[in-house]
Parts: sequence; C-alpha cells; structure tokens
Amino acid sequence: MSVGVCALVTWIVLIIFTVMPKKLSELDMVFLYFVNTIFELSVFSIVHINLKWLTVSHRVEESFADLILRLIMIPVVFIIATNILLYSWKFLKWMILIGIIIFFIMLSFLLEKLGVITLHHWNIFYTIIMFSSYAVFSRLMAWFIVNAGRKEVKKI
Amino acid sequence: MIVYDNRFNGNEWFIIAGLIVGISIMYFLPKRFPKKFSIVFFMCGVFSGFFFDHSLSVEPVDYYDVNDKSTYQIMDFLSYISYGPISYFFFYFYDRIKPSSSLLYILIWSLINVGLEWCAEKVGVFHYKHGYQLYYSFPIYLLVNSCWTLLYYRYHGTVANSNQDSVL
Repeated sequence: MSVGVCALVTWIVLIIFTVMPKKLSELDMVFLYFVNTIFELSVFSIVHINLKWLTVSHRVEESFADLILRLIMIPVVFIIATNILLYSWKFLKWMILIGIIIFFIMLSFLLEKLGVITLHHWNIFYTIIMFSSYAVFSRLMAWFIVNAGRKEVKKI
Repeated sequence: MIVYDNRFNGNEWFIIAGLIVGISIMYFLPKRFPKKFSIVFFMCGVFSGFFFDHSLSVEPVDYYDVNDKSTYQIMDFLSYISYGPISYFFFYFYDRIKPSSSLLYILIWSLINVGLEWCAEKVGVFHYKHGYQLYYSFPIYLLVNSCWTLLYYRYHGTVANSNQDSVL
C-alpha cells in the first residue's frame, strides 16, 4: 500500500514537472536535482539517524516507499518550487509555495498513517521549517548556478 | 549505534588526503570546460556517492556503514565530497582522450573505482555488513560511469557552443 501511494504521488509530481513551463535551463535543473538531494538527505539523516526525532520503518515496503520520496519526489518538488519562484507573478507564486508546504504537512501525516515514518520528537512547525529551508536552499542554489554561468559569458 | 573506532586515524587521513590531492589536481589542470559545466561534473560524483550510500547503507538493506560510527558525521559528508574530483577527472579525461571505445573507458574507470573502494575499505572508510562484498560495487560503478558518459554526450554540443575556448 505505502509503495503504491508514494509511487503515485511521485508520478504526479514528475508529470507536473514535465508539463510545467520552466525558467531554468536543463543543466541548471540537473545541478539543482543534485544539490537538493544532497541537502535533503543530509538534513534527514541528521534528524533520523543522529537525533532520532523520527524513525523510518525497517520493513522492506515502507523503507522502499520512503526512498522513492527522498531520492526522487522531494528534490523534484523543490526544482518545481524554484522554477515557480522565478516566475514574474507577484502574489500567486507565494501562494503556490505555501501550497507546496501544506502538501508536505499533509504528506507527513499520510506517511505516519501508512507506517512509513514514526514521529517521536516532532511537530508540524518542524515540518514547516524543514521544508521551507529546502525551498530557500534550492532558490539560493539556483541563483548560484545561474550566476556561475553568467559571469563566464561576460568574460568571453 | 555501532562504533567502529573513536580515533582520528587512517580513514580520516585517507579522506582528507584524497580531497586535498583531488581538488589540487583539479585546480592546476588546464581548464577544459566552462565553470557551470565544471561545477555540474564535480557534483555528479558527490551526488552519486550520496544517492547510492543513502540507498544501500540504510534500511531495508543496510549493506555498510561509513567511517567511525553508524550515525551521520561530518567526515561522512567530506567523504562524499571527495567523490567530486573523481567524477570531474572522468569527464576531463573523457574529453581529452576522446576514447574510440566508450565501453572500454567505462570499464577501466569502474576498475579504478573498485580499486579506490578497496583502499577505502582497508583504511576503515567502509564497513561492510550483511554479506556485502567489494565486487558487488562493480556493477554500480558500471551503471554510474555509463550515466556520466550519457550526461557528457547530452551536453557535448552545448558546451562547445557556450564557450569557444572549450576543446569539446
């Protein structure tokens, strides 16, 4: 059940990512996928393995479902969020970003219900802080990689 | 939590020395790629390290631990960063040599990767568990190096167009 649900959510995210108009180049998004995955896995490892504020189920299905989300879905969602933040919309883009954070709050409730994660020292505010920090990090990395290219174009 | 070692010894020196040597060589080698591509090529290695270590060294399989403790440490993070120069050199020499057989190039690099992992295992960077063997990593390196080759060809024309000095 948990693998099915997580795979479905990931599939929907990938479809949204595929069809949405993008502001970043393909190479920029490859870079963002790399750094978002690294940042997200590092933060999650500290929270899960070191602090033990939450635990992931040791059963095969639930662990695999968690891996699908951590390695594919979450980094891709923040590439989508970064592209949206680059749109010229003034109000709507922030509303969508808040919607993404609410989606992650609902997803953590769902993961707990499915037995994928067990929350020990955790509350909704930690979820908001964690996923907001991912969004900020992704936006900063987008700024970094776009400017890394721009400076060199000027040199040429 | 499993503790393998509490001292600053072989594994830490291996990672630090690897990082310093790798980044120094990267710095002193003549530049071949635009900065953006160099960053992405470097990050390929770091990402691959994270991706496979966080899928193979965690539940449900949990095939190995990295460094002194089974928890996540700063030295673990540095060990993943040290994969960066390896991927950069893979792209660098691929671009420089332009091998007639990509398959042979991937095979040679996979053997080099297995050799480096063997050294890392001997000094205590990796601690295999649940029957994991060094040679199980070989197909993973083949897969990773093949993906890197595909990435190189995906951007082959783009690099050449974005920088006239590039030798691509």
